[in-house]
Amino acid sequence: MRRSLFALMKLSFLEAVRRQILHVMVLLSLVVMAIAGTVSFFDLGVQVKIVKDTGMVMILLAGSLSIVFLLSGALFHDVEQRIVYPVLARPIPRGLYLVARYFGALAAVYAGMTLMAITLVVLLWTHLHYISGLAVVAIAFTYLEVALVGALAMLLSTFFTPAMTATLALFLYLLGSLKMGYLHHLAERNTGFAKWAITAVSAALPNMEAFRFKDALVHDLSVPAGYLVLVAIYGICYLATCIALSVWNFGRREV
Amino acid sequence: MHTLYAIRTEQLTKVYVSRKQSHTAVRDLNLHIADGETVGFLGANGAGKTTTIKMLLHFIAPTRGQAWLYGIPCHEPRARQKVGYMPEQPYFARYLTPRELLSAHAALAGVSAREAKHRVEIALELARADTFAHRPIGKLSKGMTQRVALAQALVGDPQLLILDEPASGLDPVSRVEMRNVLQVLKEQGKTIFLSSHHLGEVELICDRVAIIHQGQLLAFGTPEELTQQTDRYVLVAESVTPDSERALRSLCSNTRRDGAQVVAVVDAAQVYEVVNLLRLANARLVRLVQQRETLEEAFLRIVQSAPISTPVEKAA
Repeated sequence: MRRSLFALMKLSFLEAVRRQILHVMVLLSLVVMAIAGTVSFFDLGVQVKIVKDTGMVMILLAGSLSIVFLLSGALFHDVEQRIVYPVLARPIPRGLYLVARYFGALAAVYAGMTLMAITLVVLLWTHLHYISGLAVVAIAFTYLEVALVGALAMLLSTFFTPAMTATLALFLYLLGSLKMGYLHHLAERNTGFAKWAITAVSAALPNMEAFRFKDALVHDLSVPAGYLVLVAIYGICYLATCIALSVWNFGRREV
Repeated sequence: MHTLYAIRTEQLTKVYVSRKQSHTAVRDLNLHIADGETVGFLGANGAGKTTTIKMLLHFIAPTRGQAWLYGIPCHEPRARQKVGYMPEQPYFARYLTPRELLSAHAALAGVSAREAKHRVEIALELARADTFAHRPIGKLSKGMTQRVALAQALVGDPQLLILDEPASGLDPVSRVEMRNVLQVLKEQGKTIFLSSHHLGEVELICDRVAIIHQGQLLAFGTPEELTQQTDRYVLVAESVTPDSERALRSLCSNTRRDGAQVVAVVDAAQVYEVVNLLRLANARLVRLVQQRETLEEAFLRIVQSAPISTPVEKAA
């Protein structure tokens, strides 16, 4: 079973890593990061903040958009084009295909993100001659956030068409990013059913804001280790739930 | 003794239900295919061939009835352990090369890592896909993709091959090559379940033929069992003069010269007249045999004589 999983993951990785959308995203991000790191308008302190800020935003943006574009249409396309048939005719459970598709695409996106992360680290090293631990933590949690967005896109793709999936995934991603501030504020201002409904939606949505340590990195703030562990557990549980629901829905579908 | 069939279906039924109507794609299908048999699965478009294959491979669940592959219920993944499947009009991820695809399928089929590389090369060679195994699949022609699909089905060295229209879209040369590959596999003792529209090819390689129409199995037997004697005779004669040949052509539907011989197809009602003509012209009658239907003719007769059923019904 492990060999089958890795074989399918490799196929999914090879396919994703050769897609132009990924190349364009990575290239654009690297160009923006390089401009932010080399064009000097400000003093060193501000310049470093700009490098950190731009770098983290580009890694997150390119990673999130790439994984949504790669996964939102993958399943629909595989079923419509009957690419899925020869694989499902093998002695493997159907869920394995979905899991491999997800992790293969994620690995391809991670390869691109790693290139960006290395660029960011090099730029920071050029300016500061040291790398803070928080930079590594912030980048690691960006990886987790992208994995979560991907899992969400995968789950939605088992229900909807590619366009609908991409739109919904990005919408939920934005809503999840607003969640901490806006939705909690909205819940507090309402009473009765409205308050209950907003609280329920708020709980169901992924709290994307929780994974972002960009501000702490830019302003050199410290983050408690316990909080990091909690966020990591939250992310992994949310991700596992999304994958489990995707496997369940794909398993009961007729292809 | 209980026979272990390669494919066995009992009352296999699939009903597609939409809001307004239900459509019975396959109705009470009973198939028993022994290991090592080559079976042709014939039917017009929409007859239920692909739906049956989809149920055998558990892409879709049957509404009623059950199917087994080598005695294992089809819904269990291990039922597909011995299966190689080639879909109709196959598509693969366009950025992959055939070799990459086959390596993955070897792993999925349970071939050990050590053996996989060897098996990939054998399958590519057998399907004659080795010359373009390094090119992205998206850049291959339809015929080449079809060969990749066959190699993919063969890479696990399966005992049961389920092939859905393997020759569809192939040029005549590729079709003959495909038939030769199937012949080799048949000689190796593989079980082949072949859904096809090319009845001539099915007749050439299949031990038995199943005819499905509007979801119902109409006939299942050897080509000899399904085809009937016709009321036509094939006549072969020698020493036929040009004048006699002209007279023969006016009496017989299909007359041709084959070297020194003249071959003609004669209706039963005119046999006496034709034989008399040859006798008077001092020609030599070499052979006169009653003609059998081709599988195509038998297929059309069986399908056209089937009672008209209504697979589309109003949903309850």
